[in-house]
Amino acid sequence: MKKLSLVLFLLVAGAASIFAQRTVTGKVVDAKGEGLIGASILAKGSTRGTVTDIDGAFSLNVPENTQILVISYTGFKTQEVTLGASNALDVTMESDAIGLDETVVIGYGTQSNRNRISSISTVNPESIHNNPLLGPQQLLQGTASGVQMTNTSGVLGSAAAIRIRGVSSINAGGNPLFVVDGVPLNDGSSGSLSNAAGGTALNPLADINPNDIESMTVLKDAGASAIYGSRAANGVVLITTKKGKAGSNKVNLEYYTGFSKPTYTLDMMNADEYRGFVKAFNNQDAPATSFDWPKAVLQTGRISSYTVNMSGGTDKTQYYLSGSYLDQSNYAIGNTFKRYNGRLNLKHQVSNKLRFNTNIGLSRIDNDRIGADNNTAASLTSAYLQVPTQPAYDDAGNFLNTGFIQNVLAIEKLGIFRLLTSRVTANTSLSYDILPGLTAKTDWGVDLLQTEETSRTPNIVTTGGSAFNNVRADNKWLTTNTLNYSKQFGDFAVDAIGGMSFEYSLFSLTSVAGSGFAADALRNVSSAATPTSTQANRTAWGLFSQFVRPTFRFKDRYILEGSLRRDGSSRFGKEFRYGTFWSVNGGWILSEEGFLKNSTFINNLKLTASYGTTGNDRIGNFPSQGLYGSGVAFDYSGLPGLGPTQPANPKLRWEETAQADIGIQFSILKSRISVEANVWQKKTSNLLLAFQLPDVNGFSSITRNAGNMENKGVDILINTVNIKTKDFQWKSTISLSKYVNKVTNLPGASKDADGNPFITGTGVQRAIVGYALNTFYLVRYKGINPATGNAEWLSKDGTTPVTTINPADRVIVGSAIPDYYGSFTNTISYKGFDLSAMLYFTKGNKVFLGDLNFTENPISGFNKSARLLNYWTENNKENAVVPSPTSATRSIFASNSTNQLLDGSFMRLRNVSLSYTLRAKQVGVKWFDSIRLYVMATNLWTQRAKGWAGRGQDPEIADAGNSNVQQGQSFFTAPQAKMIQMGVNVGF
Amino acid sequence: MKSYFKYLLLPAFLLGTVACDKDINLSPEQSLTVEAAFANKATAQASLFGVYSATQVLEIFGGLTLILNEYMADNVEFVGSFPTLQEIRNYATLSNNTNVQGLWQQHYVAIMAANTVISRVPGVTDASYSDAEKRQAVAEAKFLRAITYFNLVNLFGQPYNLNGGTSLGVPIVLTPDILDGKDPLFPKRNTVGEVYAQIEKDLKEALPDLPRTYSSADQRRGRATKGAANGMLCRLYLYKNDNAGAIARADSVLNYPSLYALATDFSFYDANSSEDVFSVQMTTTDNSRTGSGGLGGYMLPAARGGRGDCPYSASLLAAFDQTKDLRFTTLTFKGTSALPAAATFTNKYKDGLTNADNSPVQRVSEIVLNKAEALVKSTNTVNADAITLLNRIRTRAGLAARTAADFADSAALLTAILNERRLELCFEGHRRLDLLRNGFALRTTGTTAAISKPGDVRVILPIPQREIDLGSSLPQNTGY
Repeated sequence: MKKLSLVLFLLVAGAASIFAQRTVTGKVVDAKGEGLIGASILAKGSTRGTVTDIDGAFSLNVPENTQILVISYTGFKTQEVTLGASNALDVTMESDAIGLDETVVIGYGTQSNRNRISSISTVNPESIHNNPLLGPQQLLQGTASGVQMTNTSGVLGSAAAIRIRGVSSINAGGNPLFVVDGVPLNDGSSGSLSNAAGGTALNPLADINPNDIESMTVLKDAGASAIYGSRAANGVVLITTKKGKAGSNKVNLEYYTGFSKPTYTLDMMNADEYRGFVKAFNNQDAPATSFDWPKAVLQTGRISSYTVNMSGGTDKTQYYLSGSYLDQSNYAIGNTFKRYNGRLNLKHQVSNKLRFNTNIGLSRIDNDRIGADNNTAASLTSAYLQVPTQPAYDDAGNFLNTGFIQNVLAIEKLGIFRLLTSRVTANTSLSYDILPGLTAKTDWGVDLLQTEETSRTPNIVTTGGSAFNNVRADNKWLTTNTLNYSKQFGDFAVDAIGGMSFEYSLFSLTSVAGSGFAADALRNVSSAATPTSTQANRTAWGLFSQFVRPTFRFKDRYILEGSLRRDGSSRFGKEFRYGTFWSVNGGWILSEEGFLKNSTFINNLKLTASYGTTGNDRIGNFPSQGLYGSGVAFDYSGLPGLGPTQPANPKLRWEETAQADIGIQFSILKSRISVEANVWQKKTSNLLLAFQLPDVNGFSSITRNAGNMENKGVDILINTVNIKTKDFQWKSTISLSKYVNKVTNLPGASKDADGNPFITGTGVQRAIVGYALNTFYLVRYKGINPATGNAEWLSKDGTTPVTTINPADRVIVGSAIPDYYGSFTNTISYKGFDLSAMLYFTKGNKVFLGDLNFTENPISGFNKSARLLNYWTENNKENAVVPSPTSATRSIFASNSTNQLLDGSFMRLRNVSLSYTLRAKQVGVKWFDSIRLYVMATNLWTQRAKGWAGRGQDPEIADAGNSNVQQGQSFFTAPQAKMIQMGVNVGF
Repeated sequence: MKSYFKYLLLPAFLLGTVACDKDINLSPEQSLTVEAAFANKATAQASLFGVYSATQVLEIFGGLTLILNEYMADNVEFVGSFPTLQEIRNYATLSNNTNVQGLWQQHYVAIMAANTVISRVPGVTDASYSDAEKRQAVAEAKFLRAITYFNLVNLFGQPYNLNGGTSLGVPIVLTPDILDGKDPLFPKRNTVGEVYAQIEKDLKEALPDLPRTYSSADQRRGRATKGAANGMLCRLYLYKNDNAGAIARADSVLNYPSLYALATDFSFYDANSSEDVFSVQMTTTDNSRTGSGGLGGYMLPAARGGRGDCPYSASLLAAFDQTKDLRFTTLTFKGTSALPAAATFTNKYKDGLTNADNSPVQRVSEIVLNKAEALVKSTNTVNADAITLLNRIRTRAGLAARTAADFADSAALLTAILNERRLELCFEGHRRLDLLRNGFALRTTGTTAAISKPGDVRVILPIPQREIDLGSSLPQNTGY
């Protein structure tokens, strides 16, 4: 393959020759006769093209034999104009309501939406929200069918759990592959980029300014994603940043500001309630002091964002330059997020045949962090658990040491917990037109990511204080070299791309820690009396790939496309290093057929089908080798030590997912209603399983390829234009997705009491053969027996109430996977006003609230939920929700059972916004183009399921969001924010 | 100029295309393969030290085993915050208790590391690695395996003396099958007696190949020696009521007074003095710290960097002569517990922040008291030698010596020895077994006293539910 592509390249490069040329000039206008800036003109059958200037005018050198020019412009139907003898050409463009002729970004290229036969979702920030986004991931919630985006936590800078068409893996990674302008992003698959735990895993997309995004494309079926081979089983998200367009320089300024509050908080006991309760339950006399901890840590979060961008250029050189600053503070003290972004995207046409294109994105994040969710140093968690009789200050106003639940006010005031991230994501490509229709391109890119984590625990909290400093770098370089061929032979058209890529990524960690400081003012490890840790680690991986994707079109209505990719990865043993992935898809554009072509009812009708395979390699760097580790975990008494860390499995290989997809796209009634629907099925085999072993073996698990899993589902996206008059427009979008996940085989896995093989996810959920991956397996809680005051659970047969929690009584009680999820968006425009609202919903998923193990434990040393005040007494038998103070069940009341399992369904007004746009021509001035004023609210209204009031916070949670086997669980997950933002955008 | 620009493309394209297989042939940089870990003397010895390191963790000698033994008995109060520890303290333990799970897991990790050294070291081909050195490495690993099993069997099985060791103990695993590429093991539970026999076998096999001592103080106290193996055999025999055996092994230790002798005062904790027979070495950089702390972390109050989870119980406070007993006056201080409330804490561990205190697995005091106890039990008399031994402990603590006249009968002397043992070894994890093996309940007051006798369900830990769920065919302890 490698040799072949080289020979081919040399052959065609040598055959390059010169053709006679002519120059065509003209103007492209809209229906009103106004010039369109930046419309694209392309000589069909070549890569020769240009864009129109500010007046819509263009001038293009084309080969003498050129017969047709293709003119395209976003929002208008693409036209093909036959060239006559004249070199002058004026074109009037027809508007295209449904974006049929828009160009969409696909793997290693672009495609016209008309000819697209793979299943993808394209999200364009401007067309959908026209509203400020805090991060790119927000673009994916509710806007793309088949994409489930869950905000894992309200902590600033935390990752979202993004699942494309379900989960294809059990123990390997579950997030999609993110690719920015052709550079696959580092996402921590070699090693975590911070010591984040729980739901606050850091967000790999946090470094991208959402304002710089031109479009996001989600590759869903194998037809679209197989070209990314071994990393595509979870889908691929392609992010394309904005490019400059020929024409006058445009400047855009945007500022917004806003504030936030948590959507929900917990109702804990106050000091009086607490004193009464511990007296009743523990016969304890709590001190007479009191302090309102939650009130002390809650505040109004603030956000401000400043963005400036400039774009423009000539027909030869176009640029896009932007800078932005985001400054955000959370609703709980100690958590801020500052992001600085810069971007330069530059295109230059060196000659008629040679172009270069460079994209440089720079970012810096300064994140003042709070402890991860599962951490009593997290401000809100700590405030809930701290007993309300514990004061924060002594009489002189100095901070007190509050014991195990540390004084979070002191931590935030005196301590440091900061993460600085620097990132450069850049690439440069050179393209050369070897022959008409044949282009060679070489693309070189980097993703250089460095995080520096600094922590300093103040002396009042831990005597003498402690500190650590971790510097991590995940530095990748890659090259992608492709040949692209595009040619029309009468009714027959061919597009093909083939090439190779090589990626190499080196992850390193340097870490120091120390304790014993003379004063809080001494901030760094070098001031510590005792150095407690020094570490420096490195690990690398490489991926060598070859790929090809031919597309054939006949009469522009029968389309056949295939793709093939061979990947070689350093992660697997020598014998199983290479894997081949492929797809075939076909499409039929019925509306181009004679019998439909002139239909006034059906404007577009397309049927598609695809089948193919993709892989998953996200299981760390050397999972197949038997290893002995070294370092501080294995040394003894000053002697260097080695210890077993991983059992060998030299036969380890790719996990493979085969996906079939059948789709229909149609638009009717003058494109007032357009629908895209896909039915799909994914079957994953050779699952990369952390195969659980009895601990007596000395290892808890061994990574093996074993088992099968299946996801099948339906994605539907409906766009309607309900009302359309000159001044008034009402559009709706409905996105609805449903999938069913089923573990179908786990050979060799342990079997439960019912004989079903399973893999343990957490203490409360399992992957069980015949059921969903995230199946909750718990003893059923029955309630408080009004007669006895005992808490009761159900025995396995479901009939006998018992007063113990016996593991043998566990049964399957639901799953964390929703029955369906989706969104309903309405946009109303009247003259310059736009009103937009998105409802997001998920239905049928269960959520396990681990916080209840603590907040509802009647005999713990922590503060408790105010709900516990409703305990059983002789005078309160029927309505009691907590056992009597003397019941033996009080000590296990809060232990894991369905008592902590809630219905996770919810519906929320994700956002609602109102904006007014003033165009310069309305007021007859020229010093600006347009001014837009807006106000937007996020999570203004949420409807939770029954049973949440007084027990849980926000229903949108995903503790350990990146672990496939730990979904729908919370441990004091910080609630989502309710935000109001106001902004102004001025274009010059 | 610009027409030449295109020639840049060719080398760039070629360079990218020639990247090949060798660039994806990478190796880990912080780890060795199992084969390399036993390739020569240096790596094989490092693999042996890795076994010591494996026993340093919180769950083995880093503190948890010791603390659970104290929580389940009557020396300390529970004022902590972890519901999982609270369950164990209240005899309400559920089989999915995560502390129990972690404890079980880490013990078998250490056992697997020891098994690997025992099976692979003899096969290391390195001319500089003598047979004697290899035998010593195997002996050290066997010593570590033995004391690890001893921890386990005493936590998960009923005391040997309850029924002569016929209760279910823990599975005996002696080979590193998974690391050797074999199928995983699903072993049965061996009886307490069988596990005791295996521990005895390992210690006896290790003895001839273990050195008497080492040149540096930390290795002298922190690595396996003949004294440490004899000391452990002494404890084992005492626990199974083989009193003659216990006396003989006590002498095997005490007959080397230059190596093993009672310290003169109570500054010996974490000091690698002749008081220590075996103590797992901890430093500020190499210790038990795994998230939730170690000995100092649990025992010391927040003001000293710890959690303040285990202050003195009222029962232990009452047992001390609080004005005279040097073990109280020098090893105790007042502080604020995790509750928070005023409480009394032990000063035996100093470092609540980094948990750098050595773990006192066995001290000369224990050997002395072991021998005294065995003498009384084997003779059933008010044994004069036993009183002498008892007085060595008492006089060091600043208390008056006892005479034979103080004891009505042998039972009274035994009670006095056991009471002295409580005062001497409190906060060192001995109390639970000292009560259970002698047929006493763990508590005499409170609602839990009635369910704290030897043989009661929750005086031992449950087999972790995970192990049972995974089909280990391990029967659960009755009542769980």
